Amino acid sequence: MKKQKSIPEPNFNRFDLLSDEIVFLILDSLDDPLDKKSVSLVCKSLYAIESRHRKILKPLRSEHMKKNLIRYPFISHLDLSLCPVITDSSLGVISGYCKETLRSINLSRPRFFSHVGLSNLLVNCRNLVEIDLSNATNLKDLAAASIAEAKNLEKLWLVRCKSITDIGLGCIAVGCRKLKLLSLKWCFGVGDLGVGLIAVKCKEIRSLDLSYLPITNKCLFQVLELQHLEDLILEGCFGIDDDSLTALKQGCTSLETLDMSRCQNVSHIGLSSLTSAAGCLRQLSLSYGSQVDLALADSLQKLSMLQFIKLDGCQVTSSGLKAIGICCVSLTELSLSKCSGVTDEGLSSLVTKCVDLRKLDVTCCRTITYASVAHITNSCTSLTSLRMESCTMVSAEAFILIGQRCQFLEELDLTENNIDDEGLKSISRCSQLASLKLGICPNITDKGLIHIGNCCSKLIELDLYRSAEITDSSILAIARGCTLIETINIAYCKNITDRSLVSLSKCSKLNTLESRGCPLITSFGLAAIAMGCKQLTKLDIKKCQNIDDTGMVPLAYFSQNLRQINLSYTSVTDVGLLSLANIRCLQSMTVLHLECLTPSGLAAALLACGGLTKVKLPLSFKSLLPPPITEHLEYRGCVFQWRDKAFQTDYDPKSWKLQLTEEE
Amino acid sequence: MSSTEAKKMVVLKSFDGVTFEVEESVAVQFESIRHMFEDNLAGSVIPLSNIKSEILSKVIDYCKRHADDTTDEEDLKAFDADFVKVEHGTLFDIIRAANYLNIKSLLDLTCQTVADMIKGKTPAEIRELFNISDEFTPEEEEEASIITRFIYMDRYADC
Repeated sequence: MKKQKSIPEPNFNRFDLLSDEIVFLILDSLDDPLDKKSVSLVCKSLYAIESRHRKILKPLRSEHMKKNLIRYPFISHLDLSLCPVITDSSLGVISGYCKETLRSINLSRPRFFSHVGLSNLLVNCRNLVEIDLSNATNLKDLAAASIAEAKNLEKLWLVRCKSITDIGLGCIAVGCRKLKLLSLKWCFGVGDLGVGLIAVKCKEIRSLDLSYLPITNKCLFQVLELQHLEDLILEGCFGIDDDSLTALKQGCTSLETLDMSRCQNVSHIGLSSLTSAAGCLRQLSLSYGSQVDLALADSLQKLSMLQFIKLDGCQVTSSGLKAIGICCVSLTELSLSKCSGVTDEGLSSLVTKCVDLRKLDVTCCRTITYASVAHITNSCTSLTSLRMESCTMVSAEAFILIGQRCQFLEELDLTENNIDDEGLKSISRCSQLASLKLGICPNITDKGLIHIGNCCSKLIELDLYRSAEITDSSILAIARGCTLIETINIAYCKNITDRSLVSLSKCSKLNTLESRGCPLITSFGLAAIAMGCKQLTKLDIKKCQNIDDTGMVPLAYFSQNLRQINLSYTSVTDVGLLSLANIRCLQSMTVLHLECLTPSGLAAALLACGGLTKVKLPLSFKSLLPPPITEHLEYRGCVFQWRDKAFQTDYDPKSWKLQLTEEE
Repeated sequence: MSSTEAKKMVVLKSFDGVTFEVEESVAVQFESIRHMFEDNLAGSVIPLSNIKSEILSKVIDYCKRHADDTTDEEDLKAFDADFVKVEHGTLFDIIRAANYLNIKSLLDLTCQTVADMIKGKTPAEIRELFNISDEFTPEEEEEASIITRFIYMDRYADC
């Protein structure tokens, strides 16, 4: 309604006729940040409107902070978790420019600031309601005291703030009465006293994470009296045990999510007294806890609203699973990842009852067979996610059932399974499939994968790690049919050549390419990827011996979004490494066993790549790099990881599995 | 009893003086002028001095179609898709009309259409598409692009 001119001049800019609010609407309809970037670079007026539109800023470096904050005057959420360095003076700049507009700030990764800068920020930005200070291990009670000045604070994350004690937390409890969310995970300095004070003073708390704190039932009773508490996370609280839980008079009626994973001293006895009043509980995690048997299932009986149970890593019995099926019929999500004792009998009787299951995780339930899959696919036809990595006893025929009966699947993890081409052909009917993992599936070939390429047009992630039979024909079909693909892993698919990379270069959304151990691909293929896939952020070309400096140059020129690269065992030299400095976003680099790399070449490259936060280097270089250079890089926020691995050792996390199967 | 008798009519007058007689069931979708005919002003002419007759007639077409309960969803989708296949100038005029009359569904539809045209294009391509002359000096463009690069590279920046 504002600024609407009625008579346009010839050769005018149409966008000038639209009011800010209309252009904002158009910008809101653009989901991809890169599209907004393009709009901002069209002309001066759109540049200005886009600047006024932006509310969220997540910069990679702090150098341009002042310019950014001048350009974007209405930032309400500032996420600095990607910046390697934030000092008190950067916080000073933020305090000066953002003032009352800033509502939320994430300082969860950067270091180098102290309670002085924090205090400055909190005094100037009085409307802050959210602060994430996780990993600020240097912050002490003095910092906590300055947090307490932020009276409006509603959400506070202090994960791993090990130096804060009960005294500091007490200040926060007294000062920040409006807190709704508080995470104290790994704050080892905090105990019953501090948590108790929070429970007494901060009555608005909805969500509380007390994982791994040395607390006992003493403060837990106070916590459970919080009227609005919805999410409670007690992971790894060894001080909480059955004995005193049974003394609990009344449980918390408002609780919706309870995580008691790794609470070794709590069995079904403690659990049932804790959940006796929690009739609204929807999510429960008991991972890595006591045995899941009939008695434990009984303690769940009153939880009629339960939708999600996580029992990862537990010892389960068939009768326990069967009983869960009977008492928790409204389950939509169940995770039995790495449980021992999951049998066909137990799992089948559970899934037969829980027909509304949407997500099921049976990763590493190694004893289940075709029978389980037959029951799962028969009853749970609305499944959207099925994860069954390493269910090695399941026969190839079972996967045909998945394709026939579970056509709503969006996520399917079949890593290390016996699926074959017939199975893939059947699964290609799942047209909603977005994520498909087929790593270490030795029985699949191009014949099956071509069906996936032809039918699964919504595929975003494909993992073919060590599925050694596949060749370029598969990747050609995938690149043609799955144009939305963002992540592909073709590591150790030894037959893959540059033809695959050239075809993948047409997939403009590709951001992650893992092609380690593909000896046939060369700098030519990599150049095609660099030119076609502008959104590439992660690249792993370890052990691609045929990639050399000529591959780095196009990468340095075109891949301006690259954040992470692994160049180990390639033929790249000083020149190639140095050219990567042109990629301004590059944060993480792994450079092991580059035969022609010299210490001075490495030093030059490290100095030139200004945004590095993590480099993995061979230990042998540690004494060869001049100490002032390493010190300077550390001062810029770069963390060095020195590796002393014998040449050609494959330390890929999954490779042991392959070695095991080869030995058998 | 004929049903036409029961229907209240509203008269709208465009910027260039053309009048349109529409049923109230259609006109109620014009949120911003709704009070004018709801306050018992039926029969009087409502001037819409910002909207050309060519555009107003299109907007009325759209609202008629959307007021019709008998149209099924698929047909409506097809109609919408067809409706926005117009020249850029017309599309932008409809956006402004939809904004002025506060017709949310039409505004969303047309803004989404412009957004869809922009998606995946470079700044130069967007300039060409909408015939916008480049007002940046090369230095300004480089400067803008550098600062911007540090902000947008993260695909989740706007989550």
